[in-house]
Amino acid sequence: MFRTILKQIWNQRLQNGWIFFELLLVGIFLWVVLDPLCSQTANKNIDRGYQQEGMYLLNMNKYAPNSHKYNKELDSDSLARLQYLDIIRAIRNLPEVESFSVTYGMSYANSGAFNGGEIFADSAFSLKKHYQAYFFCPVEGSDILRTYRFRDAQSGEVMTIAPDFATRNLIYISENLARLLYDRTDVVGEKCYDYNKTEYEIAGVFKDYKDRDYNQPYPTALLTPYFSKSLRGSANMHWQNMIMFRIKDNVDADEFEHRFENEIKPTLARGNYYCTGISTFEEIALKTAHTFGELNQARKNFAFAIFGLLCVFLGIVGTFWVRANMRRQEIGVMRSIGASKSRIMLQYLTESGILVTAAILVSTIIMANYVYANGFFYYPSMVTLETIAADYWQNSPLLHFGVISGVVYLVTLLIALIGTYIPVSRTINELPSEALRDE
Amino acid sequence: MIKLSGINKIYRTNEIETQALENVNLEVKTGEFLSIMGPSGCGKSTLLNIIGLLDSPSSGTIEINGKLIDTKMSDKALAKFRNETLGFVFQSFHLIPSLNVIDNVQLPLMYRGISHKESIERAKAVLNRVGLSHRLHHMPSQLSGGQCQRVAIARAIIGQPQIILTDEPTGNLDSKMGTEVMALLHQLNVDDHCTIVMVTHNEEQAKQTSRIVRFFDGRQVQ
Repeated sequence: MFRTILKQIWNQRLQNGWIFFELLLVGIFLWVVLDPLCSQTANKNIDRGYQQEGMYLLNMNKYAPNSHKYNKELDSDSLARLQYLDIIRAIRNLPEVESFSVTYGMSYANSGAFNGGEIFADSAFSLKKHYQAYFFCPVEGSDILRTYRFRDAQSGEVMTIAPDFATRNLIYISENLARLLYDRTDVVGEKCYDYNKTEYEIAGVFKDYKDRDYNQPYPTALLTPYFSKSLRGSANMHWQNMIMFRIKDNVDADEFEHRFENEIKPTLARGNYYCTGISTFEEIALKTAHTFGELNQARKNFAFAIFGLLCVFLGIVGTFWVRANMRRQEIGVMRSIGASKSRIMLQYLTESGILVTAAILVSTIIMANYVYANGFFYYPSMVTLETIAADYWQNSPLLHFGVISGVVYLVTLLIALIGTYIPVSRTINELPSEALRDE
Repeated sequence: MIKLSGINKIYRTNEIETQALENVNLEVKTGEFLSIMGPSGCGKSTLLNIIGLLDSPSSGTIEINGKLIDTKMSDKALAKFRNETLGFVFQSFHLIPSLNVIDNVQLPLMYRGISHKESIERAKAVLNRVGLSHRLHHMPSQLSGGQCQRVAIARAIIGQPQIILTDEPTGNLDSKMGTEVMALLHQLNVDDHCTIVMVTHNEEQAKQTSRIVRFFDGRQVQ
């Protein structure tokens, strides 16, 4: 049968040539449309490495000197520290709060800031790796690991901060940073060094972490800044030391947010600092995705892909529909000489499959040249050569090309088969005499 | 060989009901060459399609080779029956335009699951018999009407069916070609003992057959 199908395709090469050309264009078009969508979606779907739900950031502000509420006498660094610690204590003592942490700088998920640094696995400073530093202040009772619910790379359990973290040079690193530095992840107790030659002991390794929802996990370390192991008072604590916290699992988030707005927020004012509200980490992620254009890019990719797929669907289904309908009489002849319905259907679907396969094969070769010359359409901005080793298909050029080509092939094949199946199915389910009459 | 009892065929649309065949009772014996005649629209082709299981009667029964045919039998069984027992020759040849002569002819054997090599050998033999051994690789569009009809006959007989059903086989041919095709059908009837049922408008050709049945307005009148 396959031989006969090939002969039929070849003998109708003029008509099939146009269909081949149409499918070729479809293949190229779909490749260009689906590549950014698939890559971006794949990045978005990578586990964040922390539990976003239930996390809040306390939004603090400070009265400006020209405000009638501003009190100059309360604006010293030492008083500011005490006022801030009092606010932290108030948060910590809320019955709904499970854990909290205080950042140093904008070190929190989706903050939009990126605090990059160099880290070394050896004291000779020869194995330099790049990483993202999450600085935090280990104030009493705080636990950045529990607040994020970072999980241990080995056991998968939620981690808790070492009790002596504030008194020792400890550091927590992500799984991918451990691999970069030591080529393994069981590195607790190992030493590493920052660019100031400060020695850190690795206290734990957590699962890969994504700073931004649309990015891939970047090698990350949690540490205190070398110049400050505790909360320092300053004039800008409201943005230098962000307070984040997690509510308990059994707390209703809506009720808590309502209570916070009406009962808690008004009480969180100390000195010149006052609370303006709370933001969920989902809101922060969404805002950042908006700010950096990632959400718009995702929407554009999605809209373009949907529109493209719709056009392709209508075009290909129409072509194959007409092709199958033009051969109604042929189906009648085949049935009259003893072909079963399933045999006819198989023949027509195979014909369509062969046409699609040949066209997509050629379009794939064209796209291989295009990609070789111009690269893939979407490429995560924060991926460096070092992190390309990460085991994501979109980072491997061969796998990336294979996945997108495979998706393009399957989508085109599916559409062509639908366009063939429906009219052929209708014809073979008629009486053969009806199909034969169709001249 | 073929026995039709009380065959009725009614075509229904939303508003109109047309009786194409009315209480047809017909028996065709083994080896018989039967002509069905009648004016256009009298139901000849409908009857042939019903005998060939290409259409189903509204009521009545069909027996072929002593076996009561259930038109609601499985598609595979119907296809097998058509493939092994029946051969069709249509007025407009109904060759598949995208296949050459030999591939058109070997199709019934392909559906029967016979190997490609054997199918081709047998196709060559039947094409030789109908005088087209020099046109094996021609496309249908490259043949004359008479040649196309001979290819259609070759396709009908390659599976050695017991019954050949032919609907105005010379209708699209000039008289010389028509005579050649009729000679071929007679040869199949005499040499291969094929039972042939032929729908025709041609009185002369009908007279050459062993029996004529006439239809008028869906009824058998003779």
